[in-house]
Amino acid sequence: MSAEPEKPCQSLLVAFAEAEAPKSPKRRDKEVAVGNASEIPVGKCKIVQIGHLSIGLFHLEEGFYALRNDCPHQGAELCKGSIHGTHRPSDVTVFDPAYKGRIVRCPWHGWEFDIVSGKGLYNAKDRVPTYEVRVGPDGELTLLV
Amino acid sequence: MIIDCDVHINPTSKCPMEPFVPPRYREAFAAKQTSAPGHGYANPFGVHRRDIEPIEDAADLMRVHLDPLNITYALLQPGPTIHASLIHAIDVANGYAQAANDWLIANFLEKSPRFLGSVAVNMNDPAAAAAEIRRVGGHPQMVQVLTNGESTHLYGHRYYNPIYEACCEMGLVFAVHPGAEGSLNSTTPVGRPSSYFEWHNSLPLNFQGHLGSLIAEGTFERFPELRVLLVEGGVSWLAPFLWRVDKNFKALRSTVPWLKERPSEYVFRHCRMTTQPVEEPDNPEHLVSLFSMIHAGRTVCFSTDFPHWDFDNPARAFPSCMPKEMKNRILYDNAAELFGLPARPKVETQEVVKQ
Ligand code: FES
Repeated sequence: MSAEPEKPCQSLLVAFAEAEAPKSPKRRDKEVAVGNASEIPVGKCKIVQIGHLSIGLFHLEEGFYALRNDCPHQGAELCKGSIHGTHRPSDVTVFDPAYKGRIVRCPWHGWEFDIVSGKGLYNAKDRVPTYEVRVGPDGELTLLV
Repeated sequence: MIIDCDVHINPTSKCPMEPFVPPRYREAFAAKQTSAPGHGYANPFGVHRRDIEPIEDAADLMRVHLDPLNITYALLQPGPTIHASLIHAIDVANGYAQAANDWLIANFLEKSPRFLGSVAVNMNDPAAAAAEIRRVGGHPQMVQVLTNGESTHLYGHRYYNPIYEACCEMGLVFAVHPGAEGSLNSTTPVGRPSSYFEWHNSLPLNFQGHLGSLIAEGTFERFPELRVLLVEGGVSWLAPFLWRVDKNFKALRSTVPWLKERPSEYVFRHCRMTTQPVEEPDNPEHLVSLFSMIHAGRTVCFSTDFPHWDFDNPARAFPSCMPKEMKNRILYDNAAELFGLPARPKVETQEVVKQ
C-alpha cells in the first residue's frame, strides 16, 4: 500500500507508437494458397480456415494484411467486425483522425484493433497475431502460417 | 493523529456573517435576494446531533469536537460555502461567497491553526469565482475550494475551467459536498425520490455523474495539477463504477481521444474520497475488500460530518479487520499529503505499529 501517487502508465501511447511503427508478423514457413487478390476489394475482408486457424485477409489501401480471426477478449470472430478509422491520442477538445480504413472494431464489444500491427488500441498489452501475406504476379495470395 | 475532512460550521448569533457582507450587497441581503431553491427533503428527525449543544463559535468546536476526539486538523465545510452557488441572483451569490470567506477567516481560521478552510465560490459565475479564489485562496489555512453536488452543468464542463485553473494556480483542492441535490434536478435521473431516506440513498448518483464528466471531458488532462475531493458521496460504489468506465473505454476511447490513460488511473491520481457515512456491510471484511480495490491506503480520507446525525466516530467507524496501515493512512496521512500538512512523526508511526 504505497503512499506514492501512481505514475501514469501512458499505455495507450505505447499502443499507438506500435501502430505507427508496426512490427512485421512473426516469421512462419508454411505457405498456403488462399485465393486471388481480385476476390477482395479494398476495404473488405475474406476469412479463410487453415486447419484449426481462422484468419481474416484484409485488403487495405496499403496492401494485404492478415489477422487471426479471434478476439483476445471473449473470442468473437474479430475479422467480421466493421472496418473504419480512429482518433489518435490528442489534446483536450481536439479530434485527430488516424488510420482510416485500417481499424477493425470487434463485432461483440467494440474493442479496436489496428489491422496492420494487430495492436489493441486501448492498452499496451493486447495484440492479435498477424500473418504475412504475399501477392504473386497474377494476384495469387499466399499466407504464411 | 487524525484529520477530519468534513466538519460543518454555520453563522450564529455569536459569530454572525452580516458584518462581512460587502457594503454594496447589504441592501440586497436585507431584501432577501439571497434566496435559493431548496431540495425539499428535510430529515424528519433533524440533521443535528442531539447529544450536543449547538456549536456557537470556534471555542465550542474545539471543546466539543477536536479536543475530545484528538483531531489534529479539522477541514471546515461551512454551510454558506456549500450553498452559495444555489442563490438565484448571480451577483448576490458572488457577494455571499465573499462574505462567507471573510467570516470563515475571521471567526475560525484566525482562531486556531488546527482549522483548515474552504473557499466559497459562486459556480454560476466562473470568472468571479476564479477572482475570489485568487483573493482569499492564498490564506495559509485555505486548502480547498468547496461547492455542492447540485449544479447547472456536470463538473467536467469546460464552463468551469476558469475555476479549476485558479485552483491549480493557488494550490487548492476542488471539493464537492452534498447539500442541495434535488434543488435544480432530480437526484435520480428517472424521477424524484419520495422520502429523505430515498434522497439520501441516491446522493452517490450525483457524484458518479460529476466524476464521470471530469474524466470524460479530459479535465485531468487539461489540469494535471488538479486534485478533487469527493466529500460524503460514498466510497464503496467507486470500484464497480471504475470497472465499468475502464471497460467501456476499450470500445469507446476514440470518442474521447484526449484520454491517454485508463480512466481509473486519472481517478486514483487526482481524486480522493471521504469516508463518512462509511458503508457498513454485514461482513466487515467486505468493506476492507472494497477499500482495497480502490487503493484506499492512498485515496480515502477520514471524515466525521460533525455535528450531523450520520456522524462517524474515528475510534469505531472502521472494522477491526481493517489493516492498521490502511486505517492510519485514512485517518491522517492521505489528507496530510493532499493538503500539504506535516507528516505523521516517526515516533508515532512506530507506536502505532506496536499496538
Ligand atoms: S469479444 Fe471482442 S471485444 Fe469482446
